[in-house]
Amino acid sequence: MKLNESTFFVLPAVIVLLLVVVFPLLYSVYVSLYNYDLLLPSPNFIGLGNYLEALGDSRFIASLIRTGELVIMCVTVQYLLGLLLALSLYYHVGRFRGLIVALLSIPPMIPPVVIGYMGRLIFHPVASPVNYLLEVVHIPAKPLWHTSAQTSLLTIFLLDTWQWTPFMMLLLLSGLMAIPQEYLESVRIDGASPWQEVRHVVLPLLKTVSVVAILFRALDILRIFDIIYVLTYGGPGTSSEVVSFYIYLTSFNYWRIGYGAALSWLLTIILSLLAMIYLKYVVKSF
Amino acid sequence: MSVRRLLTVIACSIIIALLASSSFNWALAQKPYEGVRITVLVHSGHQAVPWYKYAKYIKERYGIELVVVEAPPEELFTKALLGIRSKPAKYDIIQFNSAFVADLAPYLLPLDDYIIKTPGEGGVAFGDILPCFREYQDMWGGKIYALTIDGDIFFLYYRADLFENPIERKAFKAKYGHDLEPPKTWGEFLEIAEFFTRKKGEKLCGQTLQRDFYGAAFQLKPPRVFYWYLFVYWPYIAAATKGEPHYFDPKTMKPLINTEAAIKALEVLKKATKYMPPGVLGWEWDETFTAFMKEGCVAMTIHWPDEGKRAPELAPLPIPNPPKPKLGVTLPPGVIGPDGKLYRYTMIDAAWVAGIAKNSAHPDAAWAVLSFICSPRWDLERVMAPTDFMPDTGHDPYRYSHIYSPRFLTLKPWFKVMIKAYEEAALHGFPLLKMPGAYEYLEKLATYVHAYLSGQIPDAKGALDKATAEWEKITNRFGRESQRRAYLAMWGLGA
Repeated sequence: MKLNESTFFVLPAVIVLLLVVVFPLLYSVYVSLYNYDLLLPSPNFIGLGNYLEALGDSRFIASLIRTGELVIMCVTVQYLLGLLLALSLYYHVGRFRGLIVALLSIPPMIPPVVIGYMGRLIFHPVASPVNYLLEVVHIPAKPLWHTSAQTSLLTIFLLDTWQWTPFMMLLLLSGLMAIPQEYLESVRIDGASPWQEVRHVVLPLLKTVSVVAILFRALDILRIFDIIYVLTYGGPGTSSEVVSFYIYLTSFNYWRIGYGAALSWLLTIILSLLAMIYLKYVVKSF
Repeated sequence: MSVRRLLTVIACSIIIALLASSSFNWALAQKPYEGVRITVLVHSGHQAVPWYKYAKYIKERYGIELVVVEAPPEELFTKALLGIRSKPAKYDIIQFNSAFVADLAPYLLPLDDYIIKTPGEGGVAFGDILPCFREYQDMWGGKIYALTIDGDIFFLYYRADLFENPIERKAFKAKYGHDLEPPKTWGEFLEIAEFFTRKKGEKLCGQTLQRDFYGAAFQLKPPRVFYWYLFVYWPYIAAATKGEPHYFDPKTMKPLINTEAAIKALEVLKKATKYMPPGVLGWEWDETFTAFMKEGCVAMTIHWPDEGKRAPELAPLPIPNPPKPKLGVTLPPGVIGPDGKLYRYTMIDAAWVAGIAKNSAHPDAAWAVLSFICSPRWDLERVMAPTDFMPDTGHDPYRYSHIYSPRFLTLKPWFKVMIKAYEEAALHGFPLLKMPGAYEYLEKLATYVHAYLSGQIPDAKGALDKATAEWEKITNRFGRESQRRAYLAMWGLGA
């Protein structure tokens, strides 16, 4: 290979990337092969021991399933709501679109920790404004929200949806704005109804943006941590314990760094497989 | 220059040199560690305040430059462990949670010799520290590894204004057949909690309640829910074992948390939650403190010394003409055993202590700093805070000289209500688990206790069996024999 001048210009960036990205990744693989526990005197090589333990760890499996449920619920609802909002803004709101978009952009900018604390107030079982509203509309149920094993995950879903639907809307709206007007004008001239216009022109043209938006949100929800830490700490019991929170507990509360690294790698492998399936089959058929 | 003048100059020079040298020696004697730098790793925020405050005094007295490094509590242990393992230690002094003493002890300097060599002024008056803190926070395996910084302990607080109300006393006696007194047993606690749980519009002290009122409130959000389970667990286990409460069988390290007594204790806790505000399973410190102290809608709680330190903040009862708010303090309830004895305990929280790194380059100077910070003269200022001298530190009293301090009691006269409770707690304190993996044991206990309380696991035995299985896994991972030795060391029986 011939080394030219440009190689030397690129080299510092490559070295920095190797140090800050590649090295930690490789080191985490190395650590996952040891029973590296901060509370034990010296780590021993145990090969795939941590990985095998994880496959039999019912709490890890349960947290994976719970995370999957949360991802499906959040992504589906946020995508549909985001799409509805984006279409409404695109078709029906002309003059105030900028203002509405600016207002709706506020929730995604709030740090998740703050959302967690807000959630504690909004869904307070005694002084909850949400329960008050339910009372006003004569719904007798007074849910305990995040303090009940039955509704804790639902509360997290509601908070996440409130915060991130505008983000989905923004991405989809930007996709809508990028659709050439000629396409829409020509189907209108051909006599297409608004539903037909959306179904046969707009949605197919939003495909790329939708793929990216869904992937972004799915990956983001998989890493959800702050809200859970503040609002439920994974409880009641383990009812809202998602996989990222369980990995945190294992690594930084039980100090089982090796096992935590193995769990993280298992999660990465599972995610990569799911992303591949998503891109190969779901997107292809879109 | 004349000879006479020359002699005068020489004589003056000698006198000046002598004076300078003696004052230098005097200065050295007064500032024995001039130029030494001591680095201390502390809990960030208000806990760090006194270290900054005292740095000036330490510099003046010892010549030591105190460098304060702050870390949030969740990072403190990792930083401390890695920092004191290195040679020389990165931190000369570390503040840590005493639950981790077993993991840190190999890298900490035993302080016994220093304490013996530094009696009186400049010493730490170790015997003045309440026995529960001395034994369960500062010592491990029979040696002193740390000095208490913050005397965290628990009390049962009750609304004395409510308990003394003649209408309520009469109604209680009519219903339960005995006088309304602060509960001594968990059975009495449940009765009182049930008695005072009332809806808005019902009567309290003969007047109409303006909001729902509850018999009790605990801080039951995970992971700290285990504290409130242990308040019930210890007396039940003690009653079942004739006064030998334990977490494990000390011979086999078999967990005792799924024994019949432990299951009964969990069922009692669940029953108590019936008389608590909705959503109490998600309550942290703020909600508990607010409901009891600020909203006045709870009759009893078990909490840290904060309520006692802030007694004047107690809100009136939620009725139109409430009596003057009055706080009552006692030990958490106990259980009467088959032998007729009352077994009653409170928790000595694994709170904040400070120790010296074995690998410190300047252990004597580090001791000078630690003994200054923890001397009765200066730590009184910390626990009295907030005052004009010291902003809030979050430190609670832990010495006899604190709870009887005329200054403290003049400054905060309402604290007198706490003295008797402290005296009792000093004798009935029970330690939180202190051994390798302590946090993991307790967090896993909390998970399954909470799962039962929330209905995720339907029966107490099932929940505690799961917690037991997790405890066995942890014990096996660390090694049963080494854990047994650590467990004995926690009780001062030698590692």
